[in-house]
Amino acid sequence: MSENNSNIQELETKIAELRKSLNELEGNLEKAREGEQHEAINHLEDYINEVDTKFSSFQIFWKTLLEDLRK
Amino acid sequence: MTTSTSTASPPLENDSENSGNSILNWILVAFLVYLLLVAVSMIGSGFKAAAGDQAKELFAFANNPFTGLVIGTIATALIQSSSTVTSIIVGLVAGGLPVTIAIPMIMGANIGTSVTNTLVSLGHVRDGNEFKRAFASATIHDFFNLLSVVIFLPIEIMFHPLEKMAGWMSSGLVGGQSMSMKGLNFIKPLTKPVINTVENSLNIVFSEKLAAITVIILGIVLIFVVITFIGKLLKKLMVGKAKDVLHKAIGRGPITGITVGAVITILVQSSSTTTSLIVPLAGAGLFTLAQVYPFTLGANIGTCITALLAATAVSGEYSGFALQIALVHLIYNVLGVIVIYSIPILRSIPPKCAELLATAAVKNKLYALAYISGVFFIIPGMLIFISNLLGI
Repeated sequence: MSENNSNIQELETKIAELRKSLNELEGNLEKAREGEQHEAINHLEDYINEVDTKFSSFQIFWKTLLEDLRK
Repeated sequence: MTTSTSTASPPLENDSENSGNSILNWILVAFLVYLLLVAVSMIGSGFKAAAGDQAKELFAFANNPFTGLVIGTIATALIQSSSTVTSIIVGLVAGGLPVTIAIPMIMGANIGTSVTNTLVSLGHVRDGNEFKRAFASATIHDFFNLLSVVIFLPIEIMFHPLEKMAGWMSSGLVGGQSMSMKGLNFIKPLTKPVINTVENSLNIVFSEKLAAITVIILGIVLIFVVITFIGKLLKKLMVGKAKDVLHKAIGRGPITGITVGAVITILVQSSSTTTSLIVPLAGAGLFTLAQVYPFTLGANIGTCITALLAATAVSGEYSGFALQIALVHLIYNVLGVIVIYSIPILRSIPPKCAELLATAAVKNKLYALAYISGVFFIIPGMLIFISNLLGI
């Protein structure tokens, strides 16, 4: 009975440790993602004129669509 | 020593040159805003002169709200600027177009404007995953605006809540429609001399009616040109501020996302700029659909500032109505966000539809083409046909 109890405690401790590590990893992942977002925002000049690409974007799409249809 | 002086001076020269350019650009923005006000007044004045008391009869074909919705949608999809269309609508209301007819047009402008970032997203078609993310991040805006119309247009047709709320607010702001804004409006003395000069010059060449129609056309062209140039200048001037605002929003919740979307749209005076800049970032997987969603809703709210600005140009008997239609635009977009985004079941509809469509479009690009031509051109046409058939 006491051996079983200690097994349960051991498993609980392991789960708590894993959960802590997982939380840390998730926190690190979130920070890494946010870092990438900040980096992208630093280059906002490259994206702010994206609205002017609507016609060229449609041309790219149209060309690709026609290529697909020919296949 | 000499070297350090010579290397230090070019940046200083560049700084002063940049600040000089910036001041010039701001003066140009102020002048363009003035031209926008002149253009809106021109439409109002021209429409009043051309239609007289017949404004309502002239727009009788748009008595059917679906016709108004379709006019707003197609006009905005073709011009690619909701600010231009809403400013023109404000000008027409200033000339006597009834607010009831103009409301569905404003709703249509909201739908029409969402085609721009959808077209932008098509440029990512060559990479399947990138296209899926980019297309979904663009069409989430479309589905939100469509859902908003599906909810609010029937309610507006039956009970007119937007018209009533905006009417009540504009009465509060200008002291009632019967009361003239003359005492409050300082714009009129600035714009009237230009408009009078244009009208008088045209009256020499054309008949009164033709001159009035020419004034309307000139006003529409001027609005389009001015809004295009303001957008270009503000993008240059405000990109730094936009970066600051975006940096502060990272890691925060949807309310911040909505606020940031609205602020950036106000800074650059174009919802299409705001909703399009996020497309490549979403396509690259840097921003998730859940992060893009509130940002695009903010753009819907931020874009209302142009119509409000346009309404300040209006004076005379219809000035209260011009402000009312601008407020309808604002209330409609704010209510749309509050109602749809705060009710989980409604909130989940646009992202689900956007993801479904994006998945289908990756498998077969014809779905994307069918969607764009269907939603922005074919279905609007069918709506008019069906509603006329049912006699609505």
